[in-house]
Amino acid sequence: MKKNKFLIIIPLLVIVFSFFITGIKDSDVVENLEIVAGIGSDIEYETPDIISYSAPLSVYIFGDTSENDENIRVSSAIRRGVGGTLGKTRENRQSLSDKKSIFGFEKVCVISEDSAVCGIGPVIDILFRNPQLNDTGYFVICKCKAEDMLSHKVKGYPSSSDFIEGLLKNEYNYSFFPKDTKITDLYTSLYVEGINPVVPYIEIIDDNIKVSGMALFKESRMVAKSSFDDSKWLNLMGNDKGRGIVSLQKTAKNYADFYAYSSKKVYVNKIGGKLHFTINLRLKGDIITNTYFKDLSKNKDVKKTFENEIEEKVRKNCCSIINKMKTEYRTDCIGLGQYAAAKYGRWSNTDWNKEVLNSNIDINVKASIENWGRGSFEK
Amino acid sequence: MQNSLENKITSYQLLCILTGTAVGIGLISLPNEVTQIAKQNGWISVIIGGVYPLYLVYIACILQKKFPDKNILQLSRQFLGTFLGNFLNLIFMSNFVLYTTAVASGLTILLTTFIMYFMVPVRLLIFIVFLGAISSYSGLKPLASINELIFIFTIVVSLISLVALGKGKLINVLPIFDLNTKLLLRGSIESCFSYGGTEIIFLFYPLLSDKENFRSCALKGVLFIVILYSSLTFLTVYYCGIDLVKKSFWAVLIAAKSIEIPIINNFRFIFMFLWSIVNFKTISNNYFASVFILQDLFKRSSIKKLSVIIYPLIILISSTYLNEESRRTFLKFIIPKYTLFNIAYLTIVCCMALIKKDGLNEKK
Amino acid sequence: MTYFYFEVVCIIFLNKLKLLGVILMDNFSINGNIQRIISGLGDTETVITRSFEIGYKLPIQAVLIYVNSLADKESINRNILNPLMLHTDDNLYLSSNLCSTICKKYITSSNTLIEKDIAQAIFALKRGDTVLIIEHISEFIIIDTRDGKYRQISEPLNEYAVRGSREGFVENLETNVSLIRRIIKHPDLTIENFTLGKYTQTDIKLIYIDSIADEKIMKNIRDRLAVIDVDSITGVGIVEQYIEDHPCSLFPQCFATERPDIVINDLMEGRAVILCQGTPYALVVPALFTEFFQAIEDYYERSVLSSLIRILRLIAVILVITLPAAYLSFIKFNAELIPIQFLLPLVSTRRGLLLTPLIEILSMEMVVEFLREGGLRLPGKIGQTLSLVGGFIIGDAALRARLVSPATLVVVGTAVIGTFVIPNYDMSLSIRIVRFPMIILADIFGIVGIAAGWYLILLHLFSMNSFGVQYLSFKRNDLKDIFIRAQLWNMDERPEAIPNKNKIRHGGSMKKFRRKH
Repeated sequence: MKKNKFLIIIPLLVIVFSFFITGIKDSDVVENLEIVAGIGSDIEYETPDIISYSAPLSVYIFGDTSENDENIRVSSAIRRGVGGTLGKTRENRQSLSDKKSIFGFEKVCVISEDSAVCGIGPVIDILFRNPQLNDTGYFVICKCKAEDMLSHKVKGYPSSSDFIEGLLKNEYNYSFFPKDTKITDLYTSLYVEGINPVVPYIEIIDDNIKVSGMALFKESRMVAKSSFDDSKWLNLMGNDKGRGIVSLQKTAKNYADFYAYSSKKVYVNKIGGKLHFTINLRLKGDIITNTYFKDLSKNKDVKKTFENEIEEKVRKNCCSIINKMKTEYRTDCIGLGQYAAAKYGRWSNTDWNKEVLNSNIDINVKASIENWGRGSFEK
Repeated sequence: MQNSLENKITSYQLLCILTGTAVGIGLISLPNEVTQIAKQNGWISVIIGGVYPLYLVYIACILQKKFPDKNILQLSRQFLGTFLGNFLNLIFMSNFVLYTTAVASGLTILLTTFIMYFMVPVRLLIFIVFLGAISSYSGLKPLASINELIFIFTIVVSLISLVALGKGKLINVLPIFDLNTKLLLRGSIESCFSYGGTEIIFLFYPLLSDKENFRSCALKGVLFIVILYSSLTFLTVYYCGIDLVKKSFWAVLIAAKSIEIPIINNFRFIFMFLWSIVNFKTISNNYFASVFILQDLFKRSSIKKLSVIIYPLIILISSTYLNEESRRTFLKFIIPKYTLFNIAYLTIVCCMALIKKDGLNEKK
Repeated sequence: MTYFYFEVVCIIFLNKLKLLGVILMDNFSINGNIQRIISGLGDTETVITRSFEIGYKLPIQAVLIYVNSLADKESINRNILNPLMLHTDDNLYLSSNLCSTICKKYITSSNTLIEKDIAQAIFALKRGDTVLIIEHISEFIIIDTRDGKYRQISEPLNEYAVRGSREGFVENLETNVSLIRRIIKHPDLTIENFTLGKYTQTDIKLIYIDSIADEKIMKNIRDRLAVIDVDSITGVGIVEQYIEDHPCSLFPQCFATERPDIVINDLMEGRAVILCQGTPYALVVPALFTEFFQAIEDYYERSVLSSLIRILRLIAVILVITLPAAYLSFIKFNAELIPIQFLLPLVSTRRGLLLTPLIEILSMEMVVEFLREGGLRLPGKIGQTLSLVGGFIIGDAALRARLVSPATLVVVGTAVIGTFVIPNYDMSLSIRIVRFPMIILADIFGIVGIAAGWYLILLHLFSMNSFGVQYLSFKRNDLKDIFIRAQLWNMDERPEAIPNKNKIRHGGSMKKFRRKH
């Protein structure tokens, strides 16, 4: 028994001892840390060669708690950090704040347009490398400085980050907006063969934050911005399973609206050394309003005409976007390269961007009406 | 009705031990290694790599039929002489010591990166290896029972990854039949580390209480491992695409993270929680295997004493490669050599077993 | 006249035997025998000797010995003294079979024994029997007059079942055995006796069903009981601690119960029961971990309901052990894993608190334990009021004084309430205690500490042996009764975890019935 005791006590002592030798890396309890609501990235060119990065954080501030803890006033403040590298901004930020900030809750990551033009590579690298940072936050480009966007006061929300998060979460209901605009989706589209990132673009118009289009990237730099109307068709071609409204308008008062669910299929061929893409779009939807076509629900021919007109309209718009893509944007922003890579082999050192811009792209649309609603209130 | 006082295990427990020793930290880093070489057809390489454990099971079946009561250590001594046999057994033991330290350090790195940023890695390492030491101190039977239970955890964890099916893109995995056989074969060598640990059946098959089920349970175990590994590789590439897999150290976690549950902010921690428990079991199995072989060499000491003695040694070895890059380089260098050694050692013993037994029959 | 001569011849004959060295009771000195018996008993004050005479013509001296308050005086008066003193014939005279004549004709008690061994007499006297010594006769009669003042069969105080019987074990060993005997009528019910304890000489009975229980295990239990050599055994809890395998473990290895129906169900599965004089608890050995979470109600109610309640119990146990530890590790280390809607109110109520999270949780747990232990000791109504009011007042005051946060109170309270779901008292105590090492592990290592804690608990449970049977095992066939409760007609084999001789529980008639309909 004595030997047994020795066998237990000595290792135990060794363990406990080595525990206290190996040093302490400590952290604090949650209420002594600052909760970050949103992060941003700005850039300032002091000279064309020297760039100063700025990474503002929007943090939650808690109002004084009174006797009844029912009204907890939460608001937000901005912590700026400026430095020559993104890492140095953290040091600078800490020198201005009274608590250590805790990541993991950021709802949005706002990049200013200037910063995006310079390149979002370093930002994504920091987000990827640090596992603490929240990958399910939304990623947006904004027109003004990120700091202004994050400090903009929105009524009813402690911080504008909450509002922007809601904005992007629900935008997919219309305009064929992509459902996944989170940081994780950026991981699967940046530096990936055949895909270029396409990121929502927001700006402050008349004191309201609104989505005003999509920012188009070539690799990690932003090269163009598409307007709100153009981005609708861009998203239709680029994403599967979107929802949006296609309208046919005869006069200012006679029009029909079609709320469509879209799905797409892409086929790729090689004809004479050039790639040939065929995008098949399928739109199924509900009629929302109709004061244009008479007897739409009763007459089969009218229905056929309606569907044909929808198809024609969509095709025309998509073709014009594709032309714009080839001439103005000069980047593959609908992700066609990945289909070619899937067919002809990966990591083969082909520049899919160039190939896509040189290719022929055909668009076929098929529309069908599923639902007419309660009835038609025509005269 | 088995009496629990005997030191025997059922065939189901052997199956769980077999899968338990092999499925460990290797699972999470497997897609990285394989897709570097075989690109999006990595999962085919993994299936090809399954030949190695299958071969081991084949040898084990032969040996078990001929000598059902002697484990590999006693057989090597019998056929190759005491000195050579003991020496080769020692190298066999160092194989298990290597796996223990590799899994322990891998788990420590994984945990300190993802969940426990505040902790010094060495402290965590001491604690994790302590768990392995305590399990090995308790002996074979509790270890077998715990393997049984944690086998279910492993199934749950791997089923979770099926959810990634909903979010991935099929074109990430195409083109499938862009087969370059040489690349596939080179890729399958990378999977050797993940299949390591299946050698443990050679130590424990004499302790089976129902010996006729050995073949079926060993085959089932290997099949489970191969299916698990290949499906996980497939799903990782399906969700992430090979470009993202190249960039991250632990690609499987990105795929696992895609699951969104309403209340829990971050699925990562449930996965880490279950995965830590699975890895404690792997470390314990390998630790026990090393102590078991050591006890066979030094017959006077008991398993309990040896478990305690070997503890500082394992910590020392693990702490030398506590960062991910050097760990992977070291393992890439040393594991193929150990695999070749295992194949050669076991084949020699098997051949001698076949010859010697026939020789005995002839003499009669 | 002839009878007189016959008597003289007897006396001479017996004297001769004594000279020959045959040791019988000392005939001529009845007092000597009485002295020997009383010295074997020890205490002279409670021993009562009543001398009387049997017969009219040639009165025979007889002495009645009994222990006051252990023997039933009514029974003595009615069955022994009355017939022998008042209603004897003249045919009684000293002869060698006087004892058997008296037993057969005059003593109207329901149980009599004729013995020669003084040790037996002392043994019987200690249990409340009466000894009748007749002069010149070497044998004596032991008459069963046991009746001390014992508690009547009443409702078991600590185990309550809505649909089960209301009978519970009492202190008297014979009554307890009768409760079991009433229900198991099969002849294979085996009862073995032990007497343990040097000074208390407590009666212990080991009961099992011979055709079901495994012999090796019964032998194991018997050996352990036989080895006990202590001064006193005052309760079955002490016996438990002397025979169990792992006295240092937190978890109980014997199942203590007050209800006969639980005991009978366990006997059917191949276990044994230990009953001890003076304790209203029966001890069932060997005990498995999973049976501490099964209540007798589960078998009397519908199977679907019972299954749901069992799952609830499982969730409760997991929560009790893990919840405070997980809460601590979240707020201390991994705050980013808390959903944001919970985090904001949590942080705002935690700002400016006095205590660190670990001390907060430990102090609240300690207060709850104080209240619970205190409530146990105080009589009836005061105890209940104390626990209730104390909980409210202290909790509220602590909140106001900004010592603790509301979330902590919720977590600690839920964990406390969860322990009440466990049906067995010993196991709920153990689970209560297991929480504390978990909290400390979580404080040092965070979530990995909780994972490690669970691993260690499982390892500990798997390495425990209860009387040769593995303490925790999940055999495929037994799963019907562990996490859920399958239909009774489906449970037609005995659980495999405990070895037994006869695997089939019932004849499968139920299945035939169901198939037909």
